[in-house]
Amino acid sequence: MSNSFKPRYDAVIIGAALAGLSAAIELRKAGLDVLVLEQHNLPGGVATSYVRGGAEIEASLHEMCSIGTEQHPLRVRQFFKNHGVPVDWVKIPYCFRYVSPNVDINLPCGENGDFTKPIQAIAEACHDTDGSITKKLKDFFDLAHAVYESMNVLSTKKLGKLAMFLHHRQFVFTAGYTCKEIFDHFKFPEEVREILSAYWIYLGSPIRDLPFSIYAYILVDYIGYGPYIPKHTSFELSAKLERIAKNAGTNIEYKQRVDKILVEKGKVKGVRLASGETIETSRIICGAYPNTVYSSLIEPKKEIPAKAKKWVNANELGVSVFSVVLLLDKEADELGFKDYATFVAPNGMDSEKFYASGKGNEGWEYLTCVCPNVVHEDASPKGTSLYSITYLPDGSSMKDLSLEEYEEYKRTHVERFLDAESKRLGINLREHILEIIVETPLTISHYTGAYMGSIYGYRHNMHNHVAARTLQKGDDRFIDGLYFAGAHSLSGDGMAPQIDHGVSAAKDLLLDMKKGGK
Amino acid sequence: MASKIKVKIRSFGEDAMGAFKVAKQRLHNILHASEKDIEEDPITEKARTLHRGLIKAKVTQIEKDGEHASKITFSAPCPLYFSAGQYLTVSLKLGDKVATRPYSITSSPAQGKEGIVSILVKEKADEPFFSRYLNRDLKVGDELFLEVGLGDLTLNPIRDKAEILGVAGGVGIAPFLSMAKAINESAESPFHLTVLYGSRKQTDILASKEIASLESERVHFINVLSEEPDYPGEKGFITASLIQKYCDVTKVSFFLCGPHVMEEFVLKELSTLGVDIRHVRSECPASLPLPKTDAKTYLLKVHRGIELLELKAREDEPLIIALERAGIYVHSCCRSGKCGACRVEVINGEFEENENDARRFYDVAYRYAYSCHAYPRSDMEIRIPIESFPA
Repeated sequence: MSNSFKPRYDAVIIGAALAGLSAAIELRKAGLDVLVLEQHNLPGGVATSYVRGGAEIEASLHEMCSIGTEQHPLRVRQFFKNHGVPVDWVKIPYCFRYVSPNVDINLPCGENGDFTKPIQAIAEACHDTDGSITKKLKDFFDLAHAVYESMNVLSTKKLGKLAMFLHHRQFVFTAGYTCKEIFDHFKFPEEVREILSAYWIYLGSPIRDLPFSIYAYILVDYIGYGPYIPKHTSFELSAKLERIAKNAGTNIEYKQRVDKILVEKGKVKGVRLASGETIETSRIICGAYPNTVYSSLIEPKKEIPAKAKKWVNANELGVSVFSVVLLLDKEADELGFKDYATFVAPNGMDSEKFYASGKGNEGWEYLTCVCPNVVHEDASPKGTSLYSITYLPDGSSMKDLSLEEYEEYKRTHVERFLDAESKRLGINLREHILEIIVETPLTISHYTGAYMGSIYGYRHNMHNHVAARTLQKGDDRFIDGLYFAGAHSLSGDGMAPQIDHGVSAAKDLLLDMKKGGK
Repeated sequence: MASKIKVKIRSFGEDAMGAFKVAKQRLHNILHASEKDIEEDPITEKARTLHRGLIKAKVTQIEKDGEHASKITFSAPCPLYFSAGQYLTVSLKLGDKVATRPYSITSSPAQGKEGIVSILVKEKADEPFFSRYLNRDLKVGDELFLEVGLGDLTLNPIRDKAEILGVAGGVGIAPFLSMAKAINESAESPFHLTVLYGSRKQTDILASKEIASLESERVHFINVLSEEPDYPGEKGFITASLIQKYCDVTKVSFFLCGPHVMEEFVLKELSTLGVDIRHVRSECPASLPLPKTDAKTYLLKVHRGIELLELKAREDEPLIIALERAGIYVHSCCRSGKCGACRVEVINGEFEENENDARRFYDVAYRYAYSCHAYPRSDMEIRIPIESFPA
C-alpha cells in the first residue's frame, strides 16, 4: 500500500466530471474532507478536448444552454461567476439549421426568453400566408415558457397540491401529455412539427412518447435564451471547475479507477481501487451509472439490493454517439460552411425511425453536423476548419461487434457520413482531410467507463417522466451513504444539468449527515 | 404572470390528473420491473480489451542487425491490437527504477493478434542508456512491460490516397515494415507503398533482409545512400527530383519517419514540388538535448497524494527523467510531448516545453506540463498522479 492516501475520508466522489466536481465544491463548503477519484488523467469526463494537427478539438459538446447574457445571466454563467472563475462564452446566433425535403430553415435564437425572431423564421419557412401558424406558435411558446418557469421553481422547492394548481397550472395541466399530443392540440402542419422535433433526438424517445414537460423546458432554455459554447471547448468548463474545487481544498486524484464499492449490511464502507488500495469512507457520490455500480462495483455481490436491480431494469439507457470529426485544409468560408449546427434529414424528421435505426447499424441518415469555426474563427489554426458529423445510436448496437470487425464498422459509417455530406455540401470532403477522428460508444467507454458508452443518461419517456423523477427524487438510494450524480440522475443529460446534479447530491448527503447527528 | 395563460388540452379532469398519472406510472413501472441481475457492461469490456495498458511480455527472440541495432520480438499472453505504423512502449525495471521508451512496431497487426510483436532498436547518441541496454544486455526470456497500439502514423483509406510514398531514415524504417506486411497480407488493402530509405552506407541499412523479403507487386523499398559514391542504386539525399522519379506527387500521400534533420530537409523539398505539407504525415521526434557537463540542477518538490518528495532535477533533462531517476514512476507513452499521458500539475516554478508541445489551451493557462517534454528553469513544485509500476 502506498502512503499517498489518508486511510479515511469524509466523502469519496467517483469521477471528476462536471457533476463530481460540483459535488466536491459543495461538500467542501460544509468543511468535509473530500477525495475525488478519477480513472482518466484529466477532469471532465466527456466534457473534454484533444489536440490533433495543432487544433484543440471538442470531444462532445455541440451547444450549451442555461448561460444567458452578461446582463441577464442564467444559472451556469452565474455559477462560474459566483466562484470567481468566469467562463469565456461564445454566443451561437442561430440555434440550428434544419434541412429536409420539405423545409430548410436557419432558426435564429430568441433574446432573453422573447421568441419573436424564431417564431417569425418558422412561420416564414412554413409559408404562413394567413398568420395562423404565427398565432399558434405564439401560444405554443407561451405555454412552453410557463412550463419552463414552473420547472425552475419546482426544481428548488417542493410545493403543495394547491400551490401547484394555483401557480403552476400550465405545468400541471400539460405534464400528462406527450409532445405529439401537444403538437396535435395546436394542429401544427407537418413542416412545423419537423422543425420543432429536430433538436430533441438525444432525449431518447420519439415525440409520441416524449413528455412535453422536458421538451418545453429545453425548448425555452435553448431557443428562447440561445445556445453558447465555451471559447476553448468544454474542457474549459472542466478545467475551471477543477480549479474551483482545488482552490476549495478538494483532493483530486487522477488515474485512480474504483474497482469496488465496499458495502456491509447495507452501508457504504469504502472503495477499493484497481491498484488494490482500499480507502475507507461511509459516503460516496458516484458518477458511474447505477448499471455499472449494481452489475460490477458492489462488493460483496450479496449486498446488491433486489430493489436496486428493479430500479435499474426499469430505467432504459439513453443513446450513445457515433461521431466523425474532420480537421480540413481550408477555412470555413472557403469550403462554404455557413452554419454552426445543421440537422440533415434527407427523408424528413421521423423520430420513430431515428431510434429504430440506432438500435442497429443501418439507416443512420439523420445527421447532426457542426462547424465551430462559424462562430469562433480561432476554433482551429489559420487555413483550416473543423467539421463534425454525428449520429446517436444506442451503445448496445455495438454489443455483438467483435474487435476484429471494429475498423470495418467505423469505416463503413464514416464513408456513408462523408458521402452524404459531400453530396449535400457540393464539396468532396475527403480531399480536404488533414485529420480524421472517429468516436464511437467504445471510445466513450474507454475514456469514461460509461455503461455501454451511454452519454445521455436514461431515456425520457412517459413512464420515466421528469416530473415523476423530481417528485420521487432520492428513489435511487438503496445503499446507505451511496448517492448518484451524473447524466443518469434526475433531469438527465446535458452539461448544465450536471452542475445541478452534483450540487443536489451533495446537499442530500449533507442533510442525511445532519439527520444522522454526526 | 405566466400562470394567467389559459390551458386546456382535453378536458379539465384529464388535464388536471396528468401530473399524478405520470408520477404513478413511474412508480408502477419500477415496482413491476424485472429483478434480474444487471448485465456487466460488454462495451467497456471491449474497450479494456482493445486498450489494455501495460502488459507483461517475454522476450522470445533477439536478432542482431549489425553492432548497434537489433530486432527484438516479444510474446504476450493476450492478443495485441494495433494498426500498422503504430508504436509500443517498453517499460523496464532496472534496480528500483523504471524507464519507459517508445518504439515503432515492425511486425504485422495479424501477428499481434497472436500476441507477438517486434521492434527495431538502434543505439542512439541522445538516448544512450535505454537503447544500449536493450541492444546489449537484454536476454531471451527476460520479462518486461509493453503498452501496444499507440500513435497515429497509420494508413487511413478514407483520408489517404491509395499510393503511399514513405520516406524513412535510420530506425525510422520500422513503421514501414509493419505497413508493408499489412498490405502484403491483405488482398483487400487499397494501398501501394513505395519507401525511399535513406542511409549513409550499405552497412547502415537496417532490416535489409526483411526489406528484401517484403518486395511485392504492391510494396517497394528503395535504398538511398548518401556516403557511398560507388553504390549502383540511388545516391545522395532524398531530394525533390528523386521523389518525383518514384511518384506523381499529386497522386500520393506522404509519410515520413526518421531523424528530425531528415524531416526538415524532405519537407522543404516537398514544398518546392508544390505539395501542401500539412497533408504530409510525419513522426520525426526532435532529438533530445545532449547532456551538458555543467548542467544546473534545481530542487524539485513533488506532491503525490498526501506525500511530499524532494529530488534534484537537471536543466538538460525533462522532468520525467528526474522523477524516474529518483525511482518515481510516471506513466508515459510518446515521450515527445504529444500524447499527454505524463501530464503533471505545476504548482510553482518555471519550466520550458519543447516546440512540439501539444497541450490544451487550459493546460497551458493553468500550468500543466507534459513531463516528458518539460525542462526545469528554476526550483519547482509539482503534483503527480499516484501510480505504481506493476510487479
